[in-house]
Amino acid sequence: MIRARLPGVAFAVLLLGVLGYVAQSGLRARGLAGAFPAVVGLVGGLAALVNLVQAARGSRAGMAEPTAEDPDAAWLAGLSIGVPIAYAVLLWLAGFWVASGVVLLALPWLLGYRRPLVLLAVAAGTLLAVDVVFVEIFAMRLPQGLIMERIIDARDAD
Amino acid sequence: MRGMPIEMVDNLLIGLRAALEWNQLLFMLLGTIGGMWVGVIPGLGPITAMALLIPFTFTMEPLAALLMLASISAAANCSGSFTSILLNVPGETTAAATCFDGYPMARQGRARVAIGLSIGASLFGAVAGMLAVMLLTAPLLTLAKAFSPAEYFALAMLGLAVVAVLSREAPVKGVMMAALGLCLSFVGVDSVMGEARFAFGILELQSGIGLVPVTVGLFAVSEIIGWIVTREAVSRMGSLSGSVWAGLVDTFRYPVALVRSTLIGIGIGITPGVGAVAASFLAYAVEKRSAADPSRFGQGAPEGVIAPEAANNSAVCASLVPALTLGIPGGATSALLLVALTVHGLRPGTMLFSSQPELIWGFFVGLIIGAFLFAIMGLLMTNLFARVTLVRAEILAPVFLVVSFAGVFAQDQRLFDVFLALGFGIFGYLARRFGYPVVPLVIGLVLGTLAETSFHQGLTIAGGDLLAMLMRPGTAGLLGAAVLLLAWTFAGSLRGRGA
Repeated sequence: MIRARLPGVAFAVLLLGVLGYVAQSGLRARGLAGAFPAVVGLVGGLAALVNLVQAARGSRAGMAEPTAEDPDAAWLAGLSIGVPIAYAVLLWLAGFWVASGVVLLALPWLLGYRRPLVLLAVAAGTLLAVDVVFVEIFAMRLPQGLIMERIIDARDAD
Repeated sequence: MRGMPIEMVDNLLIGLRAALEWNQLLFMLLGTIGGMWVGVIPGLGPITAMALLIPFTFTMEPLAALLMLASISAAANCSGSFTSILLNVPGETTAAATCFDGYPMARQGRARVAIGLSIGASLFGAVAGMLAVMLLTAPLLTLAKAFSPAEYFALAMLGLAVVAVLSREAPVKGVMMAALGLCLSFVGVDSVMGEARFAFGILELQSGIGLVPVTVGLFAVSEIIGWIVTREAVSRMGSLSGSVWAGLVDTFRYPVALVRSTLIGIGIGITPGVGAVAASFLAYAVEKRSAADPSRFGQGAPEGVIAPEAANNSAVCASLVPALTLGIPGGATSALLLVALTVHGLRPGTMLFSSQPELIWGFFVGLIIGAFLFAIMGLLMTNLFARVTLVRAEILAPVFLVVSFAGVFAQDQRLFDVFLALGFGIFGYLARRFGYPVVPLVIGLVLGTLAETSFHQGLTIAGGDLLAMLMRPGTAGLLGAAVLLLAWTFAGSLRGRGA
């Protein structure tokens, strides 16, 4: 029972920590500059403290209904958080086109979708649409990636 | 005074003649089509499109240029709600409140009805907003001029009090999340000392946290995470029921919600700096509070779609009042319209109304015609849009992850914003899982800068006397309303728990 409450309590502690930090920084600031952050931090911190007590006591106020247990739950939960993080890191390293291509092909496959031709068509269509809208029409740059930037820099230096 | 209606009819006829010329209609149509598709892409809003097109308007007639830019803004404002309804991803931040009931309707297979409601409410809001602009410019001008920073501060506080109403089931969590949103608005350069704060030495944080990464993260990325976990299509029914036409007709079955939300939108729109986002959240909260059965809200209540849509569209139109008369933009899009006006050698103010009646009245009438153009195009294209809700989550999740991150990056060309959106996505998913409302956080972020800046300006004007600042009649009235709203909600919540 107590173990089930732990993630909720940890989240409440995190929020209390953030609001408490803002209140403390506001109170330490010079002159009037910190007045507003201090008041907001104190009011929010007080609410966070009440919330923490409620979470620790297992109050149901505003709690979401528990979802049904799924045998793949841990795998899907890992994918749901892991894939967006991996995608962002890949955007930084390999650039938009490589990272997006990988995500568009790999994520459906990992989720159990096994029609390669549909996947290729969707990936190509999505990348083409992004290219037309962002790059061709609005002349915007998409992330090139650290690796590509290094290659371009090295080529320019030569 | 007796001459006023006749003068108004004369002005309307002048406007009609000017707006119905084929070239104005063509540019409005182009603006509407362009606005419609930039509106459905998160992060690529009307501001980007308008800013990019301003240089192309140099050689155009001023009226055609203004109408094209305003059509982009109006159409994007309306179509931003399509993705809110279909995917729980607001195409525009003004459409964030439409997610609350629009998306549950899509989950029930009633996406077409929800879009019909959105089109109907947007049309009504835009037309009523423009009529209000035409009728009330002069008297409202006097009222707007009387607002000092102290009243703006009180208005922001009233907006924040709405948070408690929105999260009635857990008001403590609502207040805490609103405070967290305000804290996010503190990140960047402090408006009093001009020093960087809460930036932790990170250069990107010194320019503050933008609304786009926060809203895309909280609404889109967290939803995508949810799709991966459940592997369900948006429409749990697997089919679409109801028609867009039925939704359009249904809009007018809720006249009180429609009119009340439009009036809220107009009131907020004419107040510079508050904006359409706050209008849509406030209208939603008022409808929820006034409903006989508030538990219907969040489950697909039609008023939950009508209220934010009527309010944000009327607010966008009404924001033209301070922009065109005082030169104070009510929001980012009216600021860009002012830029377009200036590049054509025109200056906002009373002179503009007397020396350029064709331009001003043609612009007003053109915007009403533009609202109808959007409604027609929306009706024609809804079936196509609604099919998205039937696509399997395995396909939809990666496609929208790619589009969302591209949109977030494209706005300021910063990879840092992608990581911010990712962080807020994970935070939003956990917040929902543990029962925390995320909307108060967005309201706090929207109103934070206005609240803090007005607080300091008001205090300076009052010579540092806080009591003198708060006891101004307008300020005291607005703050009193905020306190009453909070007390009413907390009392209702305690009664509900005791029962």
